Order: sequence, then C-alpha cells, then structure tokens
Amino acid sequence: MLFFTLIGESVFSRGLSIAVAGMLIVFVTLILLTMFIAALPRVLAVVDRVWPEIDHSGHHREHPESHGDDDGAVLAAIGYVLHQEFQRSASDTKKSE
Amino acid sequence: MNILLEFLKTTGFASMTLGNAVMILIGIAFITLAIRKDYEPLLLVPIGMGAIVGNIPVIEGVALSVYDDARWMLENGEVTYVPGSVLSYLYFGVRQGIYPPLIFLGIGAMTDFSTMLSNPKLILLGAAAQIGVFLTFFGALFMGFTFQEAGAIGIIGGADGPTAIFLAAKLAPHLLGAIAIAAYSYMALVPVIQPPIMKLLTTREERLIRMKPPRHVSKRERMIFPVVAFLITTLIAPGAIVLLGMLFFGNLLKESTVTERLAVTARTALIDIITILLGFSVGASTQADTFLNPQSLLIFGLGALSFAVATAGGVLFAKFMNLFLTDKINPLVGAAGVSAVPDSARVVQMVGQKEDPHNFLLMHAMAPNVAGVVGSAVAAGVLWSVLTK
Repeated sequence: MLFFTLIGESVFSRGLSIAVAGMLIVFVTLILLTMFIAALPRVLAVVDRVWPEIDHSGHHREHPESHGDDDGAVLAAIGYVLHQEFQRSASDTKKSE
Repeated sequence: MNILLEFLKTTGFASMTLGNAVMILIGIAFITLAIRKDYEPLLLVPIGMGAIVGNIPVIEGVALSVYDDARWMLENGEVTYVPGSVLSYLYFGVRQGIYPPLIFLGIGAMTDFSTMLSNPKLILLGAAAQIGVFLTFFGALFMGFTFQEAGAIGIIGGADGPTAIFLAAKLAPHLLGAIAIAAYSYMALVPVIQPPIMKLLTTREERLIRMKPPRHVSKRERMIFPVVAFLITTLIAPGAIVLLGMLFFGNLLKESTVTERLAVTARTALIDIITILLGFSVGASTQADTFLNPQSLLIFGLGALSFAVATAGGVLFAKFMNLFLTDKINPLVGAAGVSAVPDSARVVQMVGQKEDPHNFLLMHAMAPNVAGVVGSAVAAGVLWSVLTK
C-alpha cells in the first residue's frame, strides 16, 4: 500500500511540476514575443531615421507612372469621352444622309 | 470449384471482423460529415477514405497494410530484404514526423501575422489556451497513461493536428492513430464544441464589446518578425525547432516579397499534397485491431476535455486581462487561442455577430489564433524535450 502511495505521489509531483513548468515556459516565451512586437515599431522608428524604408518593389507589374487608385477614374473618363465622340459622329452621319 | 473456394477465403468478406465494419462505418461517417456539414472537408475526406481503405482485411502474407514495413529477414542462412507495403511508405512521413513540419511550412506561407503584430497583447490569449494541454497531460497521468503517452494525449488540446501527430510520433507512436483522429475530429467539431463554452463563460455585455481596429503594420515589421520570433521561441524551447522553423520559414517566404513563387507553392501545391498523404495514411492506420480499444475511447474523452479546457482558458484569461486594460478585449476572442486556424476565429466571429451583427471580431480573433499555433508548437517542444526517453 505504501509502495503504491509513494508511486502515486511521485507521479503526481513529477506530473505537476512538468505541467506547471511547461505552462510557465509557454507563457514566458509568448510574453517575450509580445514585448518584442510591442517594442518593434519604436525600434523601427529610430532605425528609419538612419536607414529609411525604401520601397524595393521593383516587381510592380503596373506602368511606373501608373497611380493605382486613379487608373479606374482615368479609364472611365477616357471611355466617356470616346462614347461622346462616337455618339456625335453617328448623329453627324445621320444628318448628312 | 476448389480454386473458387480457396479464392473466396482470400476475399475481404471472409476475414471481415465486426471491428473492421465499425471502422468502415466511421470512415463513411467522416466523409458524410465533410460533404453534408462541411466539417473540415480537406481533412475528413482523406481520413475517412483512409479509414475505409485501412480496414479492408488484407490477404495473409501479402504486404498491404500500413503496418507492413520493409524488413530484413534471415531465411535458410540467407538475409533477404522484404519490401514494405505502399501504404507503409506513405505512412513513413507520419511515423517519422516529416509531414507535420511541411504542413507548417504551408501554414506559415499563408498566414498573415499583421493582426497579431498590431495588437501584441492578444498573443497572451494564445498562451492561456495552452492550459488545456497541460491539464490534460496531468489528467491522463491519473488515468494510467505513461508520461510519454500523457504528453502526446495532452497536445490534442492545442487543437493543432500536425503538432499532435508530430508529438505523438515522437512520444507515443502506438497511440498515433487515435490521437490524430481525435485531434482532427475535434478540430472539425470546433463550431459545435466551442460556442456553448464561450456563452457559458461570458455575459451578454462582454460579448457586445467592440474592439479598436488594428493599426497598420509596416512591411519591415512583417519581414523582421519571422526571424526574431523564431529565435525567441526556439532558443527557449529548442524542441520546437522543426515545427516553428518551418512555420516562420514559410512566413518569411511570404513576407520577403522576393520569393513569391516559393511561397505560392508552399501554400498551395505542397500543403495540398502533404494534406492528402497525411490524412489518407493516418486514416489507413486506424485498423480495427489497433484502434478499437478502451484506450482509444479514453483518448477521445481526454481530447474533448482538453479542447474544452483550452477554450475556457482563453476566454477566462481575456476576462482577467480586462481587469487591467482600458481598451477592453471581447472575451470571445480568447476562445480563438486554441489555434484551430481559422475555424476557431470564425466561430468567434459567428458567436459575436449573433449578439451584434455589426461587430466584426474575425480580424481580432486571428491574433490569438495564430499565437495559439506558436503556443501549441512551443508546448509540444517542451513536452518532447522533457519527456523524451
């Protein structure tokens, strides 16, 4: 009986210490990660003064002069002008007939 | 006639056991759940089909089963090489823990850590949810499992299939089938298991909390994060090197912007191939004689407990954090710490929107969700290094 009690206790104490230590390690790891992420913008703000972030995306597929946001509006304007011109030339042709 | 009778003896019908029939029905149930209910179809269809394939009784003396490994045999004084079955070669990647890190590579290449980077305190919810892992480990010890088995069972609470398979392969290979099936089943059942626990532990006012929109995260932050995060996590828990190394490597491929082709391959073709191989071979390993036993039932029970405790841990820790925070966290978000990406985040969104249709919690829930992936990998690393013989 004493033997089983001792085994039970040793399993209990070892199991408990592994569980507590494991949980603690996970927390410490993720707390450190949290601290690093929280500090990162401040560190980068300092780094940016010395070594500003350059947009290296030379892989842009758009035309270099393209302004993504405006492109749609420009195309719509061109389309509108073309449509007007076609309408005008069509009505001119009808009049001449 | 004799030839016909001999042939009939070799058919699956002749040697089919009740256990095989039950497992085939379970396989069909998995496929049905995936198709009808859309529960993790990418996993349940391969696992279900694998379970059906693995439970067709094999012909004696013919290498067909997952467990028919290649071996050297001494016969009449001569050493001969007996090749293994095709399924055993596919299963090799599971047994040796090769597939899970490759899945992590794909996950890394598809994960956007921006929400986590914009609100780092939510990472702690991913840590809190790991309490399910360690409490279940402790509980499993009292149910008569060895330390190694208990560690492998506990990680089911991490709600991360690849991590569960990886750790089970290292600590308790004989329980791999049951643990993998339990882990993936509970991941598929996230929309069923989590909402009642979330509602039970939160008030309506708490569920209505709206969180501040995440800040913009610069490209430089996203590039630096995978490298430094890998260093921090694995210097503390070196057991997680393989899983986290691949996770952060995949993420670096995505964020570096110069390896887009590799990132696309990792998050599409590669992860799909590995998911097929992993799911199918894990399913095929659930042969009735090794799977249908009281131990598997216990593992399923402990897995459910682990999952529930992990969910509760995340929610309660969010409530605890709210005691000190001025910008309150919606405690529902804590449930996403269990790391079943992105299902648990979707469940948070769903439960939150039931209370307030204009409250969008998905973005916020993704932070503890991906932190949970990191947390469960760290937990697996700790358990592996502590419990390895």
